[in-house]
Amino acid sequence: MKNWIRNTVLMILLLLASIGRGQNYPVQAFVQLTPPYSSYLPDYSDPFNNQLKVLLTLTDFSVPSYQVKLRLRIEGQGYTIQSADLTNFPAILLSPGVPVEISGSDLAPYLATQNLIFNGIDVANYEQSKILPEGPATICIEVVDIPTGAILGNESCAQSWFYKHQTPLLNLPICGSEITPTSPQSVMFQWTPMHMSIGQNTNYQFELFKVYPEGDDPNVVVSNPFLKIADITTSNTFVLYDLTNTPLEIGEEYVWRIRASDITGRDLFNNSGYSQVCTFTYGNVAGSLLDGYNIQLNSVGTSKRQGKATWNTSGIIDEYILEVRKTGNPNYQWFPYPTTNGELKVNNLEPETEYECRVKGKLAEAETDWSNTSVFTTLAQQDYACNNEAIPGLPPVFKPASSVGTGNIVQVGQFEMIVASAQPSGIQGSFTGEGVIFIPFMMMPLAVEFENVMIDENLTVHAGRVNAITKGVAAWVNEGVTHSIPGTVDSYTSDQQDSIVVFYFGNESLEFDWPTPGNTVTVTDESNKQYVIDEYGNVTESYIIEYDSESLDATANYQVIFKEASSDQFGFDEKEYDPWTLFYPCILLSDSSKYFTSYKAIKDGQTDQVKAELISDQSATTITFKDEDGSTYSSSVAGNTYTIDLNTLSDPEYLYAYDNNGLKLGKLNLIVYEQKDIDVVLVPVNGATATNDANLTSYLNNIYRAANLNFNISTDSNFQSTFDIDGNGLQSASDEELSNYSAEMKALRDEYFDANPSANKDAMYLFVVPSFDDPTADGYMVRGKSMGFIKSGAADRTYAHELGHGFQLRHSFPANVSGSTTNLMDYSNGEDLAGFQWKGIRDFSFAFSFLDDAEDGASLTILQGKPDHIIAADFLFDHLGGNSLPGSLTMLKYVAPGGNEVSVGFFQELADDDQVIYEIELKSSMSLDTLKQITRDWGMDLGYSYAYYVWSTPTFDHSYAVWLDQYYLQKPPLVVEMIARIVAGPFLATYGFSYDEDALTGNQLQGWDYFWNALEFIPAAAFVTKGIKSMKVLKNGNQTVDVIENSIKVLDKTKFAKVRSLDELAPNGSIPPNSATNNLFHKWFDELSEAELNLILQNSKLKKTLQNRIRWPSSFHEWCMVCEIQKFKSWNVPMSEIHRFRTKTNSLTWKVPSDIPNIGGQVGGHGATGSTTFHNELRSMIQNCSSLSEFNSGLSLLINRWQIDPSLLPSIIN
Amino acid sequence: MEAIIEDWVNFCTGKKSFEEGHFYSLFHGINSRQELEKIFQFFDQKLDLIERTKRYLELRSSQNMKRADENLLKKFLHEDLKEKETILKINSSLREKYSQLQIIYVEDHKKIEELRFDDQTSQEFFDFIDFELVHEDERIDILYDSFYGLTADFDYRLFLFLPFIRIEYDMTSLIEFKKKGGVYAIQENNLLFSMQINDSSTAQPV
Repeated sequence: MKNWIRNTVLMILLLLASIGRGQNYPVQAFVQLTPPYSSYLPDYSDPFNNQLKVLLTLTDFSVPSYQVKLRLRIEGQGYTIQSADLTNFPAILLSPGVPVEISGSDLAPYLATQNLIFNGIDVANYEQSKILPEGPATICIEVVDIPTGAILGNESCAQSWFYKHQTPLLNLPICGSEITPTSPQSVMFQWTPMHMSIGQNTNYQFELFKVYPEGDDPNVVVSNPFLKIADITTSNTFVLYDLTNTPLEIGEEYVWRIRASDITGRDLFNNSGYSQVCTFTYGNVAGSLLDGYNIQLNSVGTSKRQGKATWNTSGIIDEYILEVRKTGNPNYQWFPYPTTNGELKVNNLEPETEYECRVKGKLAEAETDWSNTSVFTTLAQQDYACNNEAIPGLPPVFKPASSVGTGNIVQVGQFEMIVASAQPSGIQGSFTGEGVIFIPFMMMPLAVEFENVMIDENLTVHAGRVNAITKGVAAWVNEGVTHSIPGTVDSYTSDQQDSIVVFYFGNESLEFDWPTPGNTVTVTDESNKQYVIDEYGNVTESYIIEYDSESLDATANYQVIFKEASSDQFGFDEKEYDPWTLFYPCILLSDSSKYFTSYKAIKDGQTDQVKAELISDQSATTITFKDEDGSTYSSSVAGNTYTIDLNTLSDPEYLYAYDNNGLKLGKLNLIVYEQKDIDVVLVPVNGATATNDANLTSYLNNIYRAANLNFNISTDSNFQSTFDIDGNGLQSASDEELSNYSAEMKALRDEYFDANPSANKDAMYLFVVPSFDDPTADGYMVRGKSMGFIKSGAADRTYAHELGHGFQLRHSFPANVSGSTTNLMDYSNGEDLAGFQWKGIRDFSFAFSFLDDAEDGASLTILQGKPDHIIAADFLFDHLGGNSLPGSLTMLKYVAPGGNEVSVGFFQELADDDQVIYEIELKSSMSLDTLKQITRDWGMDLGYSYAYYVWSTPTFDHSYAVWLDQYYLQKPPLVVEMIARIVAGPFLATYGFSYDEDALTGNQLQGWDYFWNALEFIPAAAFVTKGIKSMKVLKNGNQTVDVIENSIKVLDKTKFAKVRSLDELAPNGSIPPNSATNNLFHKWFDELSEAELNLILQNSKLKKTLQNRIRWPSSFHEWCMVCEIQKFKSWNVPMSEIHRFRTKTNSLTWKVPSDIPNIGGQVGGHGATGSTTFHNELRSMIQNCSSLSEFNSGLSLLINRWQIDPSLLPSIIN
Repeated sequence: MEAIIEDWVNFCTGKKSFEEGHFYSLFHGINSRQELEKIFQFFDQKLDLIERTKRYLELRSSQNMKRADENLLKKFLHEDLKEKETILKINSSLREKYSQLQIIYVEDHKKIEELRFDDQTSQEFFDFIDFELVHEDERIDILYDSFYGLTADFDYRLFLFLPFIRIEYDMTSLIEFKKKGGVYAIQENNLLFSMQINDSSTAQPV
């Protein structure tokens, strides 16, 4: 406050000081100028606009008054205007102390042109507009005493800045825009005045011109009055251009401008008031054509990878944009597919997935509205088993694919080929390129190349070859193959000298070559451990992960993890032990992190709870839980932890967690089983004491609650047995695989059941014996059998553990270290069961049999691994779904009719480029010498390995693989199970044949001749006569599939034939000569398979001979060109027809087509003018034909084109 | 110059590769020595090859208007048989067949053409020749096929190809035989021959 007072006082003092100096003049003058500073000088004398005021005050009180006049001076840049003669100005009477204001019309005399002297301004020009030059200026006034002419007052000045008004700014339509025509016509033109409004004194002239010619400069257009179509003057700042005005033409460009003008005619505006010009286009023709056009869209899933969308089309539409995306989340991105047709097949989709699509049309820049959204679901993936001969059907009419490119998935027979590169090759639909085929049952990708294959619009190969890019089987196998080791790897060494890695397991070892550069070799063992060998011999260890086909929207930092609830009743299992990683389906998240799904068991019809923990680095969200059918499950939340109430109303298999945006953040496997009653009979033997059955019942029901087993346990009376002949307790079984019983066990079994013929065969029997001969043993039970043995006094856990074996469960070791888990099947105190064990138990057929003899042999009993996978792996392959085989699945065991146990392992093969060599590896009590002798009896010279010619197919000659399963032979007499799988082109065949020992003699070995002459042994009777009537394997625990029957079906329906060797085809390098009498050469050629023909052609000498035979006796032109003989073989054209269908070279003349440069129109013939071109055209035609009928048609066209006498051509080949 | 000759040069110099059979018509448009020189420039036997090809082309373009003496033709065949026996010394069974042949004239040359298809002995002879043709040079093998494309005749093809074969067989007699319109076929132990005038089925101009 003090500062304010001080400053005010100072200001007053300064003012007084100033006034003091001004006291030299009796009159104080003051000029006041109020903006806007009009450059129109007369404005300052406007009586209604007192912009310029002059205030005069007589401060000399010593005089009564003064009569004064004013002198005006205006100075601007380069000019001066000042009052000329004061005589024309009125006198102003000033009285002391009385201020006088002169303004408005009082100033008119001072501003009149005739009273002013102009310097720097042409008076005549000024007089026309009375506009002062734009720029800064000073207006000054001096007070002059009339009588004396003395200056009575100070010169007072005011600063000004004269300017003209800016012209209006055009707003609408936006310059350069396209406006949408309306009906009736109505276009709003609107602008903004850029000058300060001085009353309603501005008019606006709206001018509209048509731009013509098209593209002409709009500034030029507005100078042409003939192009003006509207001229409207208004005081408003808009014009509504409606139907009363000249109609605007659709698609035409117009230009408009506004001229602002002062209603009084003052020239106040720049550019004479004209605004900038502005153009617009009045709609477009395309848009008008599309206006109101509706597209109706339909869609359908046409294959597992393809959906087809169809819609109504219009000829006026240039292009359609079909957009496709998965359903289920509005945040999913649309993927555009432009097309010009009313139908589009969208490829490379995911199988069995719902998609939605929409389409719009485009014409130039115009677009229709989106169509309706149509939903379709791709078809389910079909799994092809190795013995499944089904070939996907091809449409009868070939509609060529317009393009095939990188990433396209092309169906090649049963397989899908991912195209790496493809180029059109000749006729439409023909492509050449490379790709990769993943052969599910072989668990390996196969690099392939294709040349001139015919691909249809559904991206399905109709004709042509897809050849594997491999340097023989050996090289192929080396390229990314997964090998299985029948055991658990104890250690391994990488041998730098020999470039091999040796894996040691048990007492055995296996060697693997280092892969070729850029490749890897993957080895898995029974513990699900994976060893990847690189080209330098480095070995990387990991556990096998089974990836779930489902995807989540989660990331490592944003996901929901399911946990066991404290209130859990029926069991929860999450991944805990690395060796069991495989059993927990893993989802690969978008940030490459892994999400392992857990298991939650619920008894059917019951409720339970599970917890879910939200891991989030995002803002708060609410999680909802739904099953796969969309049923929502109630939950409560505390912090980030949810407790979900589970029920089995919708028979759920999965529970999903979704956030507010519908993003799927978690997945839980729900295991729901109906109750399964299990009868267990405890049989105390020889005074042994069984556990309390009531307690055991409760215990077992709890242990096996997740599998929803309900035990009914009874205790039989103590059974007296003589089994223990040597008196040292029950003889333990020697089989670590828990696959058979000891002799004393069998004796006890037989004794008991002989004594109890009415025993319940559906029950499980646990014999409680006083002791085992092995003091460390507490119990024993063959896996999958219903009879077990328990040591008297053993804990209830031992009962549960042994029953687990009865339910097919394996020990938790050696996959895990013994004693390292809390699992029931470990040697520890654990009582847990894992989710895969729950499923394993329930997948087991429960077709119990306590017998261990021949009567079990007719059906396969799986003793290891997960049943589904085992069956799929070695027999049906229909559960693989393209996944890798679990590493533990290296062996099957079953009991043959003769009572011998058979173990079937996976293949092991040695190969070179021309032959595949199979090695049967012994793992039994049978000596190698014995096996050699046996195989000699089969007519084979068995050393340690066998050599076979590679089998092939009529259509596929270079790419093949024959795999032979490796056998582990346990007991004499030998039991052989062989499966040879041949992969060729689109065909996939399994040659399965399984022989056992002769049921009567017990030691007759049979079967090898079948392998050599498979087709001769197709009839089912062959199996029957060999002593085996059927071999049924379990599928999904309750279905059976007859392997033999399946194999026979395949063999019956495939046309594979063994490829004869060159020695067989051409003994001593000789091909039968042509002969009119016996036609040996014709017969020889006609019997050749395509593969054999290829074999012949690969031998240069035999190729020459064959060519000679075809050309014999010479002097003929072969219409079935010799260089394309393979094509005619593929069409099964007999040699007699090839020979008949030719023309004497010296009679074959033509007229060269006119379109052939230089020689067109000339007469030529074979070996003469045009001959090269003619042969090239003929050959190209043959190459582009896919059938004999096409060839005949093409030939007809060619003959016509070359004007060849048709009579020279033999009748066409039928 | 035909484009195919440019292809041939590019192929021989390793600049381009072509599908099998591409050069079947290599000689179809030949009409100058320069073209032959260009084709054969890659072989040491260039001059011999040019001369033989020229000779064949000249022979092909000449019209056989006069009837030849049967005995002369028989003499040519006889000489040819002797030559063949010489080169067949390493194939005793085939040599024996040739040594037992009786040369017989047949008036109807069309009959010879029919019998020619059934001529197993001649097929075996050409098998024998082909088996002796071992070339690591792919160009020579292709040239062999091109010669057939030119001649459409096994005898003439062999004649053109002789510079590449180390056998004692110059085919002079047989070429003279064929030049005079001789045609032949072996039927059991008989070497049947005839002649055709201005109606050659083997080496007449087109």
